[in-house]
Amino acid sequence: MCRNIRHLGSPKVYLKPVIFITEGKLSPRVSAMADAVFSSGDLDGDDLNFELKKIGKINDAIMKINPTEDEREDDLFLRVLRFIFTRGKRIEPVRDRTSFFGITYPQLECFFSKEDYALYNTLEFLEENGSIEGDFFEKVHFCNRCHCSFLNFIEVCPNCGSANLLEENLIHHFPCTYVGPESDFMKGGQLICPKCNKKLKGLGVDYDKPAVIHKCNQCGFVTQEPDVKTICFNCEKESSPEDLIVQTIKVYTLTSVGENFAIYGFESPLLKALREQLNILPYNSFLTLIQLELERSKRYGVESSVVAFQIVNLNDIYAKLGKKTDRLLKEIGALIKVATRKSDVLTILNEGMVVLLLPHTPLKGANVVKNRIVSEIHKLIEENVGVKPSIESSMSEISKKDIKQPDKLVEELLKNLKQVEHKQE
Amino acid sequence: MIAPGKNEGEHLPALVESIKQQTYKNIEIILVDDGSDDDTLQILRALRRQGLIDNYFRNERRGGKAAAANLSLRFSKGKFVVHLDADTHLREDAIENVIFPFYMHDGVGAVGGDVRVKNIDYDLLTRLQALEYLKTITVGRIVSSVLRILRIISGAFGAFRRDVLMRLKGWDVGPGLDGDIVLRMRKLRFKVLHEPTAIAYTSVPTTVKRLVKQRYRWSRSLVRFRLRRHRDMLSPFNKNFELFNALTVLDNIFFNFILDFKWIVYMFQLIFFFKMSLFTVSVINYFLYMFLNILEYFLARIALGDTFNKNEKSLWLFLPLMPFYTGVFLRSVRTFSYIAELFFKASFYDKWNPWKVSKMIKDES
Repeated sequence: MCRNIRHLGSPKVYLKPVIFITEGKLSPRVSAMADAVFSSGDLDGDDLNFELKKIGKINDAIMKINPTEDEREDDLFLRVLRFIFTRGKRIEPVRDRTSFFGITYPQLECFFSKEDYALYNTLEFLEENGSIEGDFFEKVHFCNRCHCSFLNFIEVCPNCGSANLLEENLIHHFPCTYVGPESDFMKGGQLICPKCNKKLKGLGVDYDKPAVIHKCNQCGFVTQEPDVKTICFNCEKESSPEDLIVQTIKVYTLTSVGENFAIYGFESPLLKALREQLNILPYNSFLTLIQLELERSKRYGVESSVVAFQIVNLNDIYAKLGKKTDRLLKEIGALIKVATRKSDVLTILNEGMVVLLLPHTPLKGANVVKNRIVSEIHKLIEENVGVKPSIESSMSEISKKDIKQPDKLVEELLKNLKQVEHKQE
Repeated sequence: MIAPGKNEGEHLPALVESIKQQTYKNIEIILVDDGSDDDTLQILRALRRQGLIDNYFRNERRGGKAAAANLSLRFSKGKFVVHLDADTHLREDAIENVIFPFYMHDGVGAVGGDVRVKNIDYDLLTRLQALEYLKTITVGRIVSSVLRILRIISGAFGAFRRDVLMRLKGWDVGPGLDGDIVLRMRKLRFKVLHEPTAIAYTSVPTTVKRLVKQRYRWSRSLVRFRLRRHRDMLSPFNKNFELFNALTVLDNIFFNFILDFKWIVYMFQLIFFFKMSLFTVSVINYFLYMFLNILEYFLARIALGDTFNKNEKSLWLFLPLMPFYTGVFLRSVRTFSYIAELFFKASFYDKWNPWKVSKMIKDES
């Protein structure tokens, strides 16, 4: 139910306070999902007033939010940020054995599908772009396949990998300098040196225990430093501890930048990354340039083209990458820069949709540019993120178009966007 | 192959590399860290992770060299145990050659390898020690081995039958454990041989102070082990009496101990009663000593010249200094050491062993 509310369209709705009225006791995690929890039939006046005041504050914060008209409803980062803004500008993790991750942010869980690790990546992204700042809370090891935190850490034999190890103390008998496992000395319940047959007097007097050994009952190998491996209780994957995902869990608070984003919306991360490397024009200026090209084409017969492409599943990629999103977008910016000329101009319509004007470029040349950009982006995302990107593209030659209005031309271009089938080279 | 040591991490990669290059390949490498406080443990872990060594052990609290060697012996699996010092470098056929005599002769309990000096060209002191090693180890031990009176196998490089070592339950507390284990093997009537073609190189002290300290420690073992612990080997009434075992101890006591004190008397007589002949006698003595040194060096060169490296071949230039080095310097250190051990049991206070072990041995003795 809570999840359904958080997935609705308008911020005025998906941010609504949720109150649980329960008869039994809820786990810390489930309790934390709600803004207030009441036990039925036990509504104390003071408690009620306190909770209602809290909910009033949440509603006041929701009223401050001022979504823009062109805002994307599926912007998960913005949803999470706005939620933090309306919930006292602070979000705390909760330890709970019923959670797949062991430690989680229950209120934010409802924005994601069940057992979705994107929750942690989203918070990392928001911290990276300065919207929130985190204070260390704990470090957690997650399975590198399913992200479950319920892992069994076991010592194993470095020779055969078996966990069937027997731990024993070594004994060093000073007078005869015999060194061996305690079992070598054990005779009839007493410690007797196997070398000099003397009864051991006392620890620190005539012997000490310089180390511990582990004997493998499987292969007989003896070691002092067994390897450690982990087995995931969920997917049963065996890993070395160093191969696990180590996630720093933090208590997050909203920054003033984040507060601004929460109220007025985000600047597109793609736009931000591309602007640093490319000359991105506002949409209106871009249309003016297309108008100019249309005129030049009519008067001088100049052949120019317009290319559009969109990474459809960019949101999935953001969720998977977390704080590394910015780096990927910069890489995308760099490869667009390499594939285009300085005279080419581009604009961004909405998240993931880029439109390029290629002056003095016939359709054939534009096709080469388009294919190169699309295939490079495909390769970059697939190799680095492990997600198959869904990219749509289209192109149009300005000169051969009957359309005289630049906005109509772009509109038709977007209507013709088609999925690009990428083939591995 | 076992190599116990403390704070020897920096030498271990080179040691392992020289073992990996051996012509004989079926080697289990076990290294022991005896309570190091440097990065030895990290180096051992790295070597194990890279699969370059089979196993390693570590005494969290230092137990001494014998304890470390016994720890690795307890968990070794091979038929023979090769004991090396961590800074030893082996010739590529060294292990093959040191194992060979076990199959050529019956009843061999241990075989010592030839130990040469690795840092010959460091200075004059290391050159003199290199000459000394050629004399006492290369030539001296060949002769002792042939005469069946070999009394020591260097800790730097020696091979032992594991079953014999297990019967003896390993090494006893040192210093002098290398000689002690040989005498204990001889008491069990096992042959002890020297194999001059099994060659290992070791670093020798580069300062006079360190050299004195090393020889002081080595020499004390004559009193501690030969004169005290194993004096029963000399008694014909001992039911385990064996002539060559007795000669082994006797050779050591006579040439090193008795003649050393006789030399003091001799020098005393010379200075106080034959002052007039002092110069003539000294010159004659010097040339006699030098002649013996020349003879021993060239015997080594004839026997093993093809294994000599460039530095070893040029050592003859330093032969004129040897009478002073061995005849005066080493003899003085040795004599002082015997006195300290005879009257004060100085080896029991040696920091070479941890105090807990030394104290216990001293109390028991």
